[in-house]
Amino acid sequence: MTVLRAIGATVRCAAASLLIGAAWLFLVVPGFGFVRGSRPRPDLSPAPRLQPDSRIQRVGAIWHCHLAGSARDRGYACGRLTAPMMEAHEGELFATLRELVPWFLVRHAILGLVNLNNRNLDSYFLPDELEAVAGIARGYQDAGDPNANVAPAYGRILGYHALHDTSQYLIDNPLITAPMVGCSAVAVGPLRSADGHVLVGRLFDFEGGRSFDFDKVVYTVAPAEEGPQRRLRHVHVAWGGMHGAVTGANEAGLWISVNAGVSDHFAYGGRPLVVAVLRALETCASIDEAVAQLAAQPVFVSESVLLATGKAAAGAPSAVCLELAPGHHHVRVLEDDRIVVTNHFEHPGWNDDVANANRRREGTTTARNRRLHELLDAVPRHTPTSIATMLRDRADTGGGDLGFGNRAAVNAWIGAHLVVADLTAGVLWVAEPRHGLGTMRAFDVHGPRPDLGEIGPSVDRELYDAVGATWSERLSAARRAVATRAVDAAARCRALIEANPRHYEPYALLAVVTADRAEAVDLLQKALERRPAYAAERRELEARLATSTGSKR
Amino acid sequence: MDLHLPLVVATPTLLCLLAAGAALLWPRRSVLWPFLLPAWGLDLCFLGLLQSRAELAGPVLVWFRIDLLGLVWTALAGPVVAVVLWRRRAASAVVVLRERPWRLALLHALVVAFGLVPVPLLLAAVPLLGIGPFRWRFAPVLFAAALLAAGVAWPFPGFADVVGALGAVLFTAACTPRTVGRWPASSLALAWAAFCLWRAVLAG
Repeated sequence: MTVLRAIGATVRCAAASLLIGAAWLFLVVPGFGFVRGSRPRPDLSPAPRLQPDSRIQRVGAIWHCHLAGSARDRGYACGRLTAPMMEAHEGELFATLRELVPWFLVRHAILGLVNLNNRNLDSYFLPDELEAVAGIARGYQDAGDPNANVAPAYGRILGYHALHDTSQYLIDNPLITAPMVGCSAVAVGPLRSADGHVLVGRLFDFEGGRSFDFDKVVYTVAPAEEGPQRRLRHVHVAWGGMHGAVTGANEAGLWISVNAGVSDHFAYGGRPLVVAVLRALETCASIDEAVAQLAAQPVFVSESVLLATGKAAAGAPSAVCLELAPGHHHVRVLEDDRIVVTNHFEHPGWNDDVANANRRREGTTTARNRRLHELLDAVPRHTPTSIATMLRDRADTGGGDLGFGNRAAVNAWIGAHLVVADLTAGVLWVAEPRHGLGTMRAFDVHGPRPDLGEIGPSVDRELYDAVGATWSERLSAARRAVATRAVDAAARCRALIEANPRHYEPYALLAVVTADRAEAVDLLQKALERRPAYAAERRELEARLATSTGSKR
Repeated sequence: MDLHLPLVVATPTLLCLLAAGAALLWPRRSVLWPFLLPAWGLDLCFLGLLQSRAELAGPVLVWFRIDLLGLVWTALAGPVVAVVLWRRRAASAVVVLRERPWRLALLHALVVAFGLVPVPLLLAAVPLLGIGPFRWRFAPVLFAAALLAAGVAWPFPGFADVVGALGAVLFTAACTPRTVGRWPASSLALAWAAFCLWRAVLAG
C-alpha cells in the first residue's frame, strides 16, 4: 500500500508539473508576449484625410494605387483604399499559418513569442514612418477591421512590415515547415542591351498566399515635402497596407529590389528592410547614396539588395548588389556589364561564412544562378522582353526539361510578382497574375503608361491554366495521402505523373506506396534522373534507392 | 477564426482555474504559485492596458463586455465580500482555504475573472481594518511603500500601473503570508511593485 501511495503521489506530482509547464508554455509566455507587443498608436490629430489625388484603379488584372500627401495622409489612404486586399492577405496569411501549425495553442505560443520579439519594433521606425503605419491602421479600422480579435490593428500592421524579415529567420527553423526562398533578379548595363539602356528584372517569390499575386498593388507615390530632406516620387510593387518596398524605382532612375539571403550574422530585432528600402527610394538619387544609407541601417536579417540606375555617372557602375547582414556588408558590382542575384552572397568577403556556404550547397539558389547566367549569355543584346522571358524560364541548367513547379527552376510558379524595368527610360512593366506569366503592363512614377506598350504573356500561360493552377494543391494532397497511406495515394501520384511527367516528386511519392519492389526501384531512379530541387531530397532518394536495391537483392 | 486576444485576456482566469486543478492533483500550496503569480502579473498589465493603451481597450471591451459600469460593480463587490467574510467569522474561512488550496485558487479565479485588480485592492483593505486573522503587521508598511511608489510615479502617463502596483502589494500582503510565509510574501509584493513601476516609467 505504501508503494502504491508513493506511485500515486509521484503520478499526481508529475501531472501537476506537466500542467504547470503547459500553462507557462501556451498561456503565460504568449500572454506576456501579446501584452508587451501591444503599444499605443501615435497621435494622429488632426485626423488624416483622404487626399483628392489618392485613388485606386484596376489596370488590366493589376491594382494601381496612387498615394499623395504627407506620410500620415498616404498611410490613411493606403489603409482605406487597399482594405479589401489587406483583408484577403491577412486571411491567407492566417490560413497559411494554420496549415503550417495546425494546433491553435501552438499558434498562440508562436504569435506570442513573435509579439515579444517585436516589442521594440517601433523604435526602429522613423516618426513619419510610424505615422504612416498608424494611418494605415486607422484607415483599415475605418473600413472595418475583420481581425481585431487577433491583435490590435496598429501592432499587427507594424508587425507585418517585419514579416519579410521574420519569415526569413523561420526558413531554417526545424520546428516550422516554412516555404523555401526563391527570388531571382538580373540587371544588364548599356553594353548588353539592345538600345544601350540599363535593364533590370526581378521575380519575387513569396508563398504567403495567392492574394499577394492576384491582388498585388503597384503604388505610385507623390510625397509631400516634409522637413528639409528632398522627397522623390517613386513607384513600387507590393501589396495592400504596405509602407515598405521590395521592388521599386524612383524619379531619379534608381532601382532597388531585395532578395532574401543568409549569413552567420543575425539579430532578433532591427529595422525591417522593406521600410529602409522605401526610405531609400524616397530620398536617394544615386546608387552611392542608397548604398550608404542602407548599409547604415540596423537590419536584423541578411539580404541581397540589387541597386541599379539609368543615370549612372561616367565610369560608375550602373548596377551593384549590396550584400547586407546585421553589422556587415559588401558591395558586388556588375561584371561584364551584367549581374545576377539569387539567394546567396557572392562577394569574396563572405567566403568564410558557414550559413551562406550551406545555402549555396543545399538550396536552389546556385542552380537558378547558373541558369540565369546561361540565359544572359545566350542573348548578346537584351530587351525588356528577353529579360521577362529569362525570369519566366523553368528549365534546368543546360536547358534540361524540369517539367513545371520545380523549385530549382528560375520560375517555379510560386512568384508573387515579376517586374522588368528600363531604367534609362524610367518605365516598369509589371506582370499580371499568375506568377509572372501574365501580360506585363507599363508604369512610371506617375502612374500607368499604356502608351508605352505591353510585354505579352508567357508561352506557358495556357499550360498553367490547364494543369499548373491546381498543381500545388494536388501535390500537397498527394503528400498527405502518401503520409497516411490513403487508399487513393497511388492513384493521386499516377495522376500527377501524367500531368507533369518531368517533375521528380510524384515518382518519389509513388515509390513510397507501391507494393512492387522492382517498381519502387524504377520510380526512385526516375525521380533522381529528374533533378530533385534540394540536395537533401537527392540524398534521401539515394538512400531510399540504396535500401530498396539492397532489399530487392 | 483565431481568438488570440480573447484568450490573452482570459489567461489570468484560466491560470487560476488550472491552479485549482493542479492543487487537486497535488494538494500542496506550493503548486499554486507558478499559476497565480503570472495570473496576477497579466491581470495588472491588462488594467494598465485598459487605461493607457486605448488600442487594446476596444477589442477587450467588445469581447468581455467590461465597461466602466462593470468596473464600478466589481469595485463595490469588494466590500460586500469583506463583510460576508467578517460575518461568517473569517478565521474559519481562512482555515478552510489554507487546508484546501484548490479552493483558494478558485477564489483567485473569481477575483481575477470578475474583479480585475479593484477587488483585491479592496479585499486587501481588510487587514488594515484589523479583522480577525487577516491582521498582519507588515501590511501598513507595505501600504506606505505603495503609496510612496504611487507618489513617485504619479506624473507618468502609466498611472494605471501604479494603481496595479498598489493592488498587487496589498493583495499579496493580505493573502500570501498565510500560505508562503512573510519573507517570500514581502519579496513578491515588492517585486510586483517594482515591475509595475518600471512599466509606468516605460509608458512615460
